[in-house]
Amino acid sequence: MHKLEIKNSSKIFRKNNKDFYALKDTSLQIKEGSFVSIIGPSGCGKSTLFNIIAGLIKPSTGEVLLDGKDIVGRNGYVGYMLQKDLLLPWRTIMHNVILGLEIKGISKKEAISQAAPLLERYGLGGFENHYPDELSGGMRQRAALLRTLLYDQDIILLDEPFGALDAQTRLLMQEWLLQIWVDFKKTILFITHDIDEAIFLSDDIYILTQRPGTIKEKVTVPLARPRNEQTLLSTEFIELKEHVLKQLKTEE
Amino acid sequence: MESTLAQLNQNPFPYIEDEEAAAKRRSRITLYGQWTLGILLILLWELFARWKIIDSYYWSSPSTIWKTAYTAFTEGTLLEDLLYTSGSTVLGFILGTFIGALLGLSFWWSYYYSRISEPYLIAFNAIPKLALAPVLVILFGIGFSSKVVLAFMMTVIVTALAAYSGVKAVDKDLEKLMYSLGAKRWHVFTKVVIPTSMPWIVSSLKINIALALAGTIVGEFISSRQGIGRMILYAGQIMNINLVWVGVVVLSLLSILMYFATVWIEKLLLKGRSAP
Repeated sequence: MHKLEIKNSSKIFRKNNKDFYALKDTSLQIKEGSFVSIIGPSGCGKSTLFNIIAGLIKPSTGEVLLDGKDIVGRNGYVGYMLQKDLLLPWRTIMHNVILGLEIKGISKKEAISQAAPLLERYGLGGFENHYPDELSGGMRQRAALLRTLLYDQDIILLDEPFGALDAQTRLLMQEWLLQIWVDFKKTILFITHDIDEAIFLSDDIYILTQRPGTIKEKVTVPLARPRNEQTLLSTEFIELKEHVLKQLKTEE
Repeated sequence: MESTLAQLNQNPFPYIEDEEAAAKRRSRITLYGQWTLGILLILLWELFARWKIIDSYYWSSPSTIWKTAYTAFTEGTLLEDLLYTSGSTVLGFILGTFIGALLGLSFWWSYYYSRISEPYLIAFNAIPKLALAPVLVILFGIGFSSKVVLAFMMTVIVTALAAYSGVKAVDKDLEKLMYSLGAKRWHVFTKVVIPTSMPWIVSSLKINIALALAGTIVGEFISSRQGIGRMILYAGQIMNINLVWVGVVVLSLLSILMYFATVWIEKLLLKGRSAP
């Protein structure tokens, strides 16, 4: 059984009396513990797909199965990190990170004792009592991801989390993310429009077409792990990149 | 290392950029300037009255006001009047701000409720509430409660509108994030909507305290047995202009005092946030 399965999902919107598909007949099978990227041109319905999986919107047709159980239209079953870090500016980093636990009804004291070692271990030690305004973009993304992680769902959706970071910070964050993925054995779905990023991080890549968004190809990434900067220069990497690039180019 | 330090130290007066010290100096000089100007103005008022450049029958003078105030305070009922006025002002202000904020925040809960109510809220805000004062005095009597109601009326809608602006500014993505963390609407309300709206509510406090005071004074003008407003009205009727000035000065001081109190409350409510 797959950890997460999306079956023939479509989302139809009506505008000016015309119906259009934001997502058409999309099916995904995600193995437990895998890192899967979804890549495609902007406006191809990537975020719609994530909103459906997170239960924030209902698909027009199709099913979302988590461990074989239908979770259509039900929120709180997967961790979801949006493009913006969305840290609450009036809360310290620590109090931001424990937000999900607070909502679950865990006491602040207990939540902080759970979060403290994570912050320490994943590069936010010493920043617990800082406010988000005082942190760099990379640090804020770390806090946002730890918040999602601490909410402790098996599946984490990441919607272009590193899109706004500079190239150097981005690479650091990618390695950091892989470390977390290995440590916590989560299943990660990752939206990006950066081909390098998709290949570097993933086991599988789904290429989505331009509107109406539908899956064009599933690419399996055979590169060995652990991966590092050297991976980015290997022939396999470059060949794969060429292939994905060609697939995306025919989309434009 | 030592030799470079020695070289550096050859200039006995190196120019060191110290922005913090400069900022401190600037604010200190500003404060001195503000005090000096205030004292100078009072001094000029006093001197102009003594040199008969202004007519002290109408304009009084600081020293006369001080003497009159002292007498009113020790022999008259100035203290009681002051407590009466400030009491109804503060009570009306607290009730108006609190209930207004709750009303404004409540609009987050329902789209139709908020959209249907909004035009009426704006219309109600447009009514000159002071014009309703005679009706309110008849309704609530000439005592303490009619002044509280006036102060309340002056502040409640302003606060509700401010809080509603805050509600409208709530980031939709933040709501989405909360729901993705399994939040119920109540969680979103307490953890996102209220903190987001707080700066809006707080920004109405300073205006509110002045409005509440105006409401109370008008209530006292119309009909009252006590209060600074009544004292001023009475003093005017018996042509005791010095006592009118005492009332005005006392009200100004009260207003300034309450203003600083709200600044303090603001700081308390927005603790830990960078200025918006």
